[in-house]
Amino acid sequence: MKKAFIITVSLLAVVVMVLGVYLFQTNTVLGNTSANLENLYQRSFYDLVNNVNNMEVGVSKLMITSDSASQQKLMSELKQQTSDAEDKLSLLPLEIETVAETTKFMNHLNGYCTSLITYKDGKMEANDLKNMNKIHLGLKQIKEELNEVSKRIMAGARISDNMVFGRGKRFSDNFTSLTADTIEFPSLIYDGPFSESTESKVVRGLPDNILSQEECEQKVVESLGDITELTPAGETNGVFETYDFVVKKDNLEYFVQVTKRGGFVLTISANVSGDGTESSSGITLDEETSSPKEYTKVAEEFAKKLGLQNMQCVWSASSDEIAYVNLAPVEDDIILYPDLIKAKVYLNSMQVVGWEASSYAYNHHEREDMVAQLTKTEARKLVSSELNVDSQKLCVIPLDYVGETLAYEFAGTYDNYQYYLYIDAYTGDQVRVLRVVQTDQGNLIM
Amino acid sequence: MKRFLIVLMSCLCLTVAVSLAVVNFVLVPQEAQYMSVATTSSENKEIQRRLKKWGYYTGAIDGILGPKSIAAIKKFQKNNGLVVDGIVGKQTASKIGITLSSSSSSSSSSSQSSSDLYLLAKCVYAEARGEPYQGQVAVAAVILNRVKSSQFPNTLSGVIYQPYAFTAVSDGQINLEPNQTAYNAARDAMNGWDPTYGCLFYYNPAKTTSKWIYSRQVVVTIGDHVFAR
Repeated sequence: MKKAFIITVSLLAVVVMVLGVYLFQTNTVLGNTSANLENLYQRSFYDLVNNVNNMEVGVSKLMITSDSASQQKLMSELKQQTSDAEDKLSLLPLEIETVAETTKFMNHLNGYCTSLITYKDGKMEANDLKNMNKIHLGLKQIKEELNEVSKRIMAGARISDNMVFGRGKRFSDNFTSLTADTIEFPSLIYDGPFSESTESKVVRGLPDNILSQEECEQKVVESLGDITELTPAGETNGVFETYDFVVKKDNLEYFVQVTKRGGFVLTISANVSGDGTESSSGITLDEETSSPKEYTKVAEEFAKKLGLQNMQCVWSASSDEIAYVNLAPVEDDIILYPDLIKAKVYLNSMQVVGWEASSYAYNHHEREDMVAQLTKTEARKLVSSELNVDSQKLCVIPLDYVGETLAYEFAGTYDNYQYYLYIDAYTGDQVRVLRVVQTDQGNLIM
Repeated sequence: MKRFLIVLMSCLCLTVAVSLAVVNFVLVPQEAQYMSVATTSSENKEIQRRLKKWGYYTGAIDGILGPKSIAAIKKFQKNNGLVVDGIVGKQTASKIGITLSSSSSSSSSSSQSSSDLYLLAKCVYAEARGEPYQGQVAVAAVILNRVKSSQFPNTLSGVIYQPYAFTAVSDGQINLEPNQTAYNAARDAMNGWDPTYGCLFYYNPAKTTSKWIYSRQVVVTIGDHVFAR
């Protein structure tokens, strides 16, 4: 009995000791980790304060500067500070709804500066000065809010406590005043990154007649051919309004979206290749059937079946089982890049298993006034002599932020790299230059 | 009595040991299996092709060294007396019979975009691995739409690691190794597929606790997720 008692007690003691050591260790690790996390947050916060202070000063300086060179310099600095501030803000543990408006304000300010520098050489008109005034007010408000938070941190509040006590409590409460309710964020109208015109696009490429679900279903059957099963899968009511279907064909499951306006097949997607849910046969492909010529033909034929007559392959890349083919309409020998359709061809069965035509649906319309001001030879002279030009074509390309233009496309090589260079067919400006980059996912253009 | 006490104590010890083990395995998040891929796509394909020929590898020859490829490389390394790390270095490469190109400017840009794909696939897998394929493409598309939107950070990593943005990032599931389906979905989204046409949010109505999210305009429901603008 006594012996048993001693054994029990000593065993208990061992257990308690082990537990104690373990808890101590864990606690130390946890303590260090949480201190490190808090330090990172505080650093981000103080960086943010610093950036916002600099932004406020930068904008106020801008308002009393009149020569273009100084304005451009101040704007570039302001852009840098703004993008840093946006970055720091996104590192803090704050809910999306808390930071979304401030983030948007910072991105718009950044885009606004970009557009002023790019299109007006930094010169500000009366309207721009008015905007800068509003921006300055907004920044002063943000600065005050941050100062309040700063005081609380100095009084011992920890940013990372937010994580421990759950969302929407404690630290982030300090930030709720960063939303549009308390700060007047000016709405900036400009053509540039993040401008309203790029964020709200208008659908121009769809007919106006509205089709029923049955009629849309018919379109699916017509386009995909021998299907084994078709199940309606609800609707999508966003920029595009579509009827959605799940279709089974050749042991593959397709998700198909057909627009209510005009019954246009907008999206087809199916998961093929690899060891996913689909059976991967792992067959080695016959080089002949998987040649670019074959799979682009498959994609072009599919477009014809959907009633799109003049679609031509403008780009393709394949990775063993899958080929991506970009199709663009060609009208009067002019390639219409804004109306691009992306197709995915499964090389094992030579079937189209993916279709993405939202750009076409957004942009396709009758284009008038497509007469180049520059002749082919005139445009050719504007291309750098370093580039070994292989081909020259006329095309319509989308501009960076809004609109499109007629341009000459020059494909060529320089230093073993392949380039595409675009010269505006009206003004002769170089609108864009792209380099082909080989990546793990095939060729990319950057 | 004595026997009873001893049994009781051993049970106690066992319980403590087991719970410690559980705490260690469950609470300590899985470490990310970062691979330093120094090989290019065409090299990866050649590696896969050869390993497939020799029966080590059964997956697709896609140039991406996913979990299946790494397992195959490890098996190959084990059988050939190499260091079993799943990474094709100089020695493994020469055993496989290929020469690695030295890292050039083109391969550095390739690893750049492939890390984007890897990150996106990880997030898709963590957030939506139980969803139908188009649901996974949609989740990937929402992430990419956020990168483009002014209301969110402007880089892929900024969007994915934004605090409170994705629950699977907060709880460490992001470090699970993505499967082929997640890769496919991520690749499709990067190539422009977006069944939500510009949505910035999604939620599972059965799980969400945020009232705010209900104020967003619902666009489409795919699987368990509601996608909203």
